[in-house]
Amino acid sequence: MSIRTLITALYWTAIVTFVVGAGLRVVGGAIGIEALDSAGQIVCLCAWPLAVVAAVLDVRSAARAHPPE
Amino acid sequence: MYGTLLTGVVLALAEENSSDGELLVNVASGSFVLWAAHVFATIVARHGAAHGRQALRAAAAHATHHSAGFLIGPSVSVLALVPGALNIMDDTLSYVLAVVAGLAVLVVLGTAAAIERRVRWYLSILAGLATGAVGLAIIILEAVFH
Repeated sequence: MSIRTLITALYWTAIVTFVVGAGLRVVGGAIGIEALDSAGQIVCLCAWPLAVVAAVLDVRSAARAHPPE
Repeated sequence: MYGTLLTGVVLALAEENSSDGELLVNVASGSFVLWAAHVFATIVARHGAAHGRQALRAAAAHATHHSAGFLIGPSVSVLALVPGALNIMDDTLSYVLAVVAGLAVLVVLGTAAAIERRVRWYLSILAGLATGAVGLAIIILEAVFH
């Protein structure tokens, strides 16, 4: 698996995780189940490190591909 | 820088009784949504630009790379909020650390920009401090007018 594929997979996993978390929060808020809202918050939080790791790998791979003169 | 400033604004506008856990969710989610919006805007701009039009996949790759700072910038402040959210550290101390960390990121970015332009070291530090001061002023202005 190339680094580009890994980065893309991480970004997509983060996006899907965040959307699922946000959905849980919306549904939990709408029907008044606090546990669902809290679960959504945790899922949203899980998306964040995935996206940051992807972003760091993205910047790192670009820096290696185009090193500063 | 923009992501770091936004984090500073979210922290500045935080209600007094909100916990570090709530702040952590707000800051992390806010930076994620802002990143997504920037990626989306960049894809549309690159894909539809009159000159140098890119295929959607290439535009998406460029957009995610170009927007990486929106996630990396606020990460220091977010990490500073984690000990408070986990009750390892006092909530207020963790909050202050997050604010100071955000300003430190601005100072480092300003200093790095000056170093890249081969400015003398003391002027680079001054440029970094000026960047932090302008960032703080923007955060205060945003908080006042919000």
